[in-house]
Amino acid sequence: MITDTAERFSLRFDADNYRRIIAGKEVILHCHHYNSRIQRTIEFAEAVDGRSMVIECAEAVFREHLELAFIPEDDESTRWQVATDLYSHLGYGSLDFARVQDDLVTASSSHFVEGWRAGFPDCDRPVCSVTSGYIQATFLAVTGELVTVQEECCALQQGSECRFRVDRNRATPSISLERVDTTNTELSSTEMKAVDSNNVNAQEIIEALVAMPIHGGEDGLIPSFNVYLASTPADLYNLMCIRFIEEMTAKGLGELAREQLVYDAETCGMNTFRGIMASTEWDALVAPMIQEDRDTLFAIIAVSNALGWGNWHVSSYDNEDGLALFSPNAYEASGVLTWRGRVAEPCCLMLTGVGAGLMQLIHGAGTLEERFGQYQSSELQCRGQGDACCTFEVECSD
Amino acid sequence: MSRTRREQVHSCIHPDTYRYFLDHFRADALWDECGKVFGPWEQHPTLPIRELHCKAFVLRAPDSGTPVTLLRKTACSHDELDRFHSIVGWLETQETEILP
Repeated sequence: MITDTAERFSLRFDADNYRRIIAGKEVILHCHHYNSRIQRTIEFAEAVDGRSMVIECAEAVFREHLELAFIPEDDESTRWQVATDLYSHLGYGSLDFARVQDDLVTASSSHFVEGWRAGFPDCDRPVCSVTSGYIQATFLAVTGELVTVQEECCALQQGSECRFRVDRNRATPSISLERVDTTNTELSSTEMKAVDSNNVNAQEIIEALVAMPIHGGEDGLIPSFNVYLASTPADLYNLMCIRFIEEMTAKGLGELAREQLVYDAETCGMNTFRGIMASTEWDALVAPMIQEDRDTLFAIIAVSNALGWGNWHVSSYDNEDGLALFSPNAYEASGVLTWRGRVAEPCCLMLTGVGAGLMQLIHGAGTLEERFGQYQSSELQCRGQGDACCTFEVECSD
Repeated sequence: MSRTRREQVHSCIHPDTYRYFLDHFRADALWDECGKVFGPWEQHPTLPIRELHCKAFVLRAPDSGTPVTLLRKTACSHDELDRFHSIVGWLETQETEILP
């Protein structure tokens, strides 16, 4: 391990914009539920080559991330180590580059394997596509080599480690990260007024969460709030989703792609927070503030803001009858504006789905499975379309 | 002496995640015993929580020591679970409480 990990990877929380920044990159904390589902949606869509899409985006984003993490004094050996440590710090698991001369990289623990094991244990394909992209990025950042990395054995199916084979004969270039607008992540001005709970101190929750050391332990995993968390660059989520929608749209399946990404987030809203609300951390930090049922929603919103989801707030809340939210700088809208410029449709699919998921979790009836569809969520205004602010409405389905 | 009971916790790292409710008066002693067997427990750096990380699982509880959530990792074996159950006094024949 490098000696200056704490300094190099220290979390900077941009409190004005609710952004988590590690080694110069904005990261979003999501858990194994969401990460495995969104990956499954993209990679299992038969109309497009989702796996390549994930690997290409991961390669480009993590190359940039690693180059930000390096310092000029780093020699090659230190750069390999920084790559290993950053991977672990972000919560993806434990990577070993010791046999890289034999074109072999191994991972003795994996956030992705754990996520799929919990959600889709019978999957018969390797699932560490993000890791393949990360290893390709490491080669580019450390040695400048273009390589192709194939996961030849995944611990989800067999063995105790994932094995990645490196092919150094690659001609295809890396995708370029061309930003069309780099200024939009600043807080947008908005006339929207937030409604608060009298009992939940959102600022206290956010400060406590920001102060928590949420990074990989010995095995590079982050078992926190009853789930496995990982800090993933917002750029990676955004690029994967933008490309997925674009390529599905080219096949006439754009609406299906958008619906599926909303559904993944709805699942996340219910499962992630169901796990979080049953955790010891929740009991210690948040539960003492919950005086009435409606406080739960305000507390969840505060937690999600500390996770970097989007500086979103409640604008009205009629308990089980409905909810309205707004975000002046949701990360998905910022991503679309950064990578593509203004678009024709609302683009904050994650927040849209989570809105419905949270209402179903708090006010829904029946088992978790029975609650799907009990609430409908929609994004009425979106910064990605040129609006000043993103607004969301969640209503009870008839 | 009251018997340890447990309830299932959903949507967690592992489908078999449980929260064990220990006898308040014995909680500290049971944590110390777990510490001897699985490695030392530590105070959470920022929250009033104690936790024990070992290869098989993570144990986490409020400062009072109970209830204890056992987050099972992939490497967790039946032997290790049996050892934990034996320390806290949980019998496999007992009924687990199911929350909605």
